[in-house]
Amino acid sequence: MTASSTKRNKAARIAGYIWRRHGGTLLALAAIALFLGAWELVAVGLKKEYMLPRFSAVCVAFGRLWGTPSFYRDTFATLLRAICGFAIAFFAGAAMGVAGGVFSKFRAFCKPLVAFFRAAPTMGLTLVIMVWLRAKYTPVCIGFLMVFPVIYTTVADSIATAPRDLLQMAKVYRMPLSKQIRYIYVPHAVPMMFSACSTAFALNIKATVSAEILAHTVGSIGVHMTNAAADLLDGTAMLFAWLLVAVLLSVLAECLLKLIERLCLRRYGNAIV
Amino acid sequence: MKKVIVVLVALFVCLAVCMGAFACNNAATRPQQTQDPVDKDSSQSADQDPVGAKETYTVFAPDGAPSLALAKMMKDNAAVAGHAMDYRIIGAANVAASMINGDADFIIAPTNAGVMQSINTDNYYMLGVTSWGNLYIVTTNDGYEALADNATTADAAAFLAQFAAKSISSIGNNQVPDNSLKYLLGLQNVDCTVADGVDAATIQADLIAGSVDCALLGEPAATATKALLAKNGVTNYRILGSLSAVWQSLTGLAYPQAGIFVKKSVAADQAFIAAFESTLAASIDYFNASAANAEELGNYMQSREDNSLKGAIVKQCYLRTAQSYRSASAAKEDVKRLVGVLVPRLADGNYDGVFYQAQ
Repeated sequence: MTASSTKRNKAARIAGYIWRRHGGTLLALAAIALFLGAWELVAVGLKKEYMLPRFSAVCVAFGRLWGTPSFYRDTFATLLRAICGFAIAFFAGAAMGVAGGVFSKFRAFCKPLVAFFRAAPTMGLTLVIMVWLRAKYTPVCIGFLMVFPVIYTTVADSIATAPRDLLQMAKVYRMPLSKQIRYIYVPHAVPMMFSACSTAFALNIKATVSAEILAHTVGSIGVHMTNAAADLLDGTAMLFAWLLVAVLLSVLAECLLKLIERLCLRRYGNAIV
Repeated sequence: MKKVIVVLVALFVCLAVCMGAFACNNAATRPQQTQDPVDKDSSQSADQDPVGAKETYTVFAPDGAPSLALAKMMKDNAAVAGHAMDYRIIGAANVAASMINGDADFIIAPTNAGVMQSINTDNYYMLGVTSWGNLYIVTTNDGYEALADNATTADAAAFLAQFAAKSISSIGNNQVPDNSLKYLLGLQNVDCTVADGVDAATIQADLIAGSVDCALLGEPAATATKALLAKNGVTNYRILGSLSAVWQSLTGLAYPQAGIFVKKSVAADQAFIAAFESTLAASIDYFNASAANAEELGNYMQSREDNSLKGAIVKQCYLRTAQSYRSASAAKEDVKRLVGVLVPRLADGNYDGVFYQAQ
């Protein structure tokens, strides 16, 4: 075997290793690059900055944002509202979900309420809630209404579908309830919960920002989007920049949840013998 | 297991701190003020105090031209008769909500909406009119004639007649701009299609694309559109005429587009109300005094980041925003005529109790 063929083989092995370990990430990066490239081409061809600004212009606007004090203050304020809405919905949804999973009658009672929250148009609810609450609390409420049905349904389903054979075994061996919860219910529910939380938080951020736009919540990403949208002359790139901020918030939250999920599953994966 | 619990506990503690910070911290969500309001809760209803005196009064204005009436007062964070004032810009969709839940001690609102909510809630008086029409018909078609200055009834009729069998794209679907234009066209039996343009940004895009060549826009959007169209190669954009001028020529009455409303409990202090009116009139006079003043206030509003105004645009169109203060009792007939057109169930004008009257 010659030296060059040895080198080629080694390169092929390294490439194969990278592809096996990080193929998914590479494909995702390639998709992003393709999307951005297509965006830039279309924007250059369209020549209508007020409709579709160039990606480079959006990057410049995004960079300018980091230099403004209101960016940090208002982004944090939006994130805080999203977290508040999510947290309240999580605790309420989990508590009612447990009740719904254990008591089928309670679940039947809550069914119309959950269906209403799930089906009611978000913008319509925002207009109503704006009258009941102040503009700064409306996004929190809308976030709650978006997340609550997801968490409630997930918790109730996970309890209702807990492995029957394990529960029977726990009954036979007179396992205390605390241990049943720790070793049967929680490991069964955790993967479903994380998946639901990941989806719900992304929806929550979307709904929170949308509510901020309609309610004109001062000191928020939504208001900045409204002001940018009103200015077609210079504002479209800034609007896209704020969109990017909202998307990044969502992505960061999802990454954080994935990290916590990995830690939990690594532990709970050994919980059931 | 310990690591998981530690991570979860840390997360919940962070959440709890965040929720606590959010609940306690109002400052992060307020625009900058030159001085803080005094400690008493500004949203506390004056109804709780039998004399109606509060240390801080809330003054709301919707985003856009109507807020320019308060711009000088906002910039100076002007106190009135020794009372601190908390000035806030709200969304147009929040005006009714603010009056219904009584958040605003003073609020600038579209005249029709303000009068309706004053009647519905029985909690507000109309104090005065601040805006006399900032709506303009604009075009990219060289075939239309502009409305003459000091137009007579015949001039206004001829102006509208040129839109027969044409289409005008209007902002404010089924709201003040749209309904006012339809009324005037109907008054002259002009068969013109008023297409719903949704909002100024959509109309601007349509003007650039050429799918629309005539529209009704409000200032400062009408002025901002010129630069936008020029940037996109459309150079024959013109402002043809003011809707309020046409209204005045055809009805003999002025067009009181927006006014200031005050909570009844606050209005009990007549000396305070007189001082507020005086300060408001002075604020408007300062705005109208020169382009430099208008630009100064426009730049201030732009710096607040809670509204869409731009100093450079306000400088160009400040007179066309038609800011001027007249007390409600003096403008009663004008208000009743406009409200009667926009809110048919109030056409009888039987709501004199809505208008503030100094004793």
